Amino acid sequence: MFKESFKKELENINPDPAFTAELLEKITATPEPKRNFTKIRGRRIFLSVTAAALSITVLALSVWWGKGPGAKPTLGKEFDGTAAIQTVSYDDIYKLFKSISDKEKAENRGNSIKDFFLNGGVTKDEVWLEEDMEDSDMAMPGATTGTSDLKGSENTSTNTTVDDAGTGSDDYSSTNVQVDGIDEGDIVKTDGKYIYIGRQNDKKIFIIKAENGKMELISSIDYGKIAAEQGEKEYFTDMYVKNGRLVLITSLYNSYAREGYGATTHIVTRIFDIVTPPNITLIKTLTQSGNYVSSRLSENVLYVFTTHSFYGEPNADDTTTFIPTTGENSEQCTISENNICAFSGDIKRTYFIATSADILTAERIDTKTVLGAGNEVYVNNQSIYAAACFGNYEKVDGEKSDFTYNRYSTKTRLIRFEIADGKLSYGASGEVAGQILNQFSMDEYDGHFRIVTTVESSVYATKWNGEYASTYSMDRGGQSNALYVLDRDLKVVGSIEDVAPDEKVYSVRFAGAVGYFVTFRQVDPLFTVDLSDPKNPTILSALKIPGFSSYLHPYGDGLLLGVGRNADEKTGKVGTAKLSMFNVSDPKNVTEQSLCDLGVNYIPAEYEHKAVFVNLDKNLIGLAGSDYADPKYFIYTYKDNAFVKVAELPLDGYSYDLNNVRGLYIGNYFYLCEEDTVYSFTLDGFETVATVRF
Amino acid sequence: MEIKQINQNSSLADKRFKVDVAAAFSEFADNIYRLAFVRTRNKTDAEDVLQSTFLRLVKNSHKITSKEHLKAWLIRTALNQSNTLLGSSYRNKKADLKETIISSTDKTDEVLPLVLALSPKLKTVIYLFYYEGYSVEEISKICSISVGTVKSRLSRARTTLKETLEGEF
Repeated sequence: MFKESFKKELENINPDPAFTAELLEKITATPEPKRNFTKIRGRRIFLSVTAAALSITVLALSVWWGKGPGAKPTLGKEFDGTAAIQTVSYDDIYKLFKSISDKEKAENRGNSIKDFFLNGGVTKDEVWLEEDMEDSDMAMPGATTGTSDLKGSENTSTNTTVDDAGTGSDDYSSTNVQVDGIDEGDIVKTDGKYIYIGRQNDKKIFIIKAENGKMELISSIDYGKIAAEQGEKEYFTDMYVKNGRLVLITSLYNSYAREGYGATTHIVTRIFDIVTPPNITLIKTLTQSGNYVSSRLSENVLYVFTTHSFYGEPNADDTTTFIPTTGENSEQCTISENNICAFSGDIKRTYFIATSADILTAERIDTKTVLGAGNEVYVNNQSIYAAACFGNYEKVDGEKSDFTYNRYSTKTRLIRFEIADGKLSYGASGEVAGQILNQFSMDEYDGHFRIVTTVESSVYATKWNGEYASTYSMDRGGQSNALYVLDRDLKVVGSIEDVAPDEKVYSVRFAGAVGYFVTFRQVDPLFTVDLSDPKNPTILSALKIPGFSSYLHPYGDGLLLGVGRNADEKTGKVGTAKLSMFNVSDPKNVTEQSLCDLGVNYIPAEYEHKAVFVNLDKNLIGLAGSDYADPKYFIYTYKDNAFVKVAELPLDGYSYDLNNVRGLYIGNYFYLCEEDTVYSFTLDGFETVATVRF
Repeated sequence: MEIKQINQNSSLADKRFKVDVAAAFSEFADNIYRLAFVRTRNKTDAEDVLQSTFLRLVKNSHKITSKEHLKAWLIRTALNQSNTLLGSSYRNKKADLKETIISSTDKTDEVLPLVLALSPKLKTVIYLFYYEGYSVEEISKICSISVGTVKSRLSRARTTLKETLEGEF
């Protein structure tokens, strides 16, 4: 049995006894707590030398700017037209899915894969399946049709206007979002009167009244109870607060698998009336099937995006086996044919589903879905762009006969939905080479769509060596980066390709007629691109500095803030987190005006843009950071061309997830929010005012 | 502007669970080492992670609230340490690209090399589930990921291992 062998073999892995004895002495001698500590000598140096040696070798073999060994990656213009979309009927889809599943059966793909897909990731006789059965009420007979037993709740009369006579402030911060005016969901929100905090662990939303720095927990919403009663598990996903409404989006997992079709997850959207806390009433619950992609709130319209993949053989009598569903309260229906489109060509059995709803009336407005997937979105007030990244393995010839060689390449498929008062309609579709980093890789400006991708075209060689396989990457020249400008029909009109070969994109920010992006392997070129002529995007400058920025934020006149990491110039070894301020007033001559080493190893802001607090009016930058177990919240300002630390606020609380820490201000007070504590400070001087725990 | 260091209100400190660092080391060092080994795949790095994890514990023992918290905290810290040591495994958001050959295991080992060859996310859950014996729910809490993610990672790992083992699981 695997478990026995695994345990036995691991028992043989032990630290060197001399080392442990020395370490034990060291830790018992160290008084607690202590900021600096000495390491047992020798280890670190060894690591650095190895890294340096490797990097130098790689550097010698690799290319810089422009030239490159190995085949060029496929260009955007050469794609085979599979990016067109067409309308489809249930019948078309049934036939398509049936042919795919028949093909799978014929190829007799290994039992393990079949089991995985047909049982929704649950293989029979698995130990953890049994544990799962004890854990929840799995016996749910008859739960095989598309109905999901979500309890509805009180539908009381609702107020649609906001009571402005309260004691809140009109001046308060909002979530750090990509596009001005398009709100994104987050775990902490404020409306100037109350702070709303979601806590994953006990499935609650806490509502804290905040007035002149004083705070009081006045209510909470418990969303886990309902799901737990039905043997399902529910997880916080996103939240919005606006105009007297709180929108709570959660992911609901069925812990059982529908026989032959696998478990389906749903996204549940609850719209609450919060006009007069602590009276909070649930107006309506909306659902859609699939896994969460993202959501947006624009004016009073909420857009929720999911992807739903299908496996196994479709059942012609049960459309829920090949069509995704949406619903309200406790009923779900398959999406109608009018609202389904499909990409032509190589189809994946994954739908991208976009729904819209009015948060004031809590009514669903529209639903549109496209077959062929979408895993990242860009939204502004006219359009929704959904991007789907695909990887492709293709067998190629190679030198050694005992190896098999495969080329791996990536491409991104795009579809635009037009939006008008919440109604959705299908727009253009297109394709470019490579894969995107995140939502910031896309932007629409002046009738054109811009996108930055990392283009992969690498060869991998695999050899079976008795019991296990080793795989080597063969083609160091197979990765580069590109920027594409597309027109309204999503056809490429302008591009820059083969940028920074052998590096990946680490951050992107579009700012109107200019774009910035950072690539990295050892040194971070910050590229500034002139996008004023869509047919002729031009790189104006490439500032090379050690380290990289993962997040870029325009910071007023001629300045660009970068949040990222240091790296050793010679070895490329990544170091501590840093803030950079770039002077971009002359795009041809961009400089790093100031750099500030935060001195910590981990900052959530690196991967989560909502974790950054930036306010240009107040000239404040806030973010959390930690050295593994010593979390802090840093507040900086930018004066006289340098970063100045305003405050360093310690974080307490026992959550591991620094990602959920948020800073915000209401009026003249700053509130630092953790999952179980909020601290308030004066905005001027950061004096402690109060603390509330919940 | 003057830098201000705000001191936290530590009136709750007295009620907390007290950590005996030496006892914690005796009890958990081997397991933390093994976890670090699974992540970093070599003994030197694993020792490095073991060291920094426990030195961090010394510094932060006042934040631990219970024995369960202690073990989970150690695991979480060791994982973070391994990530930084490896530099970029944390960044691999896209489909797991292939690993390169590994060498540190016994020649007679059958399954350990296969586990080590899995991607970081997959082998971590395999280690926590099969070696530490944590349940899916517990793993989700320790790693701050949803239960669905834990299950799908276990599944994917098992699929890969099963294909190469071709036998009883």
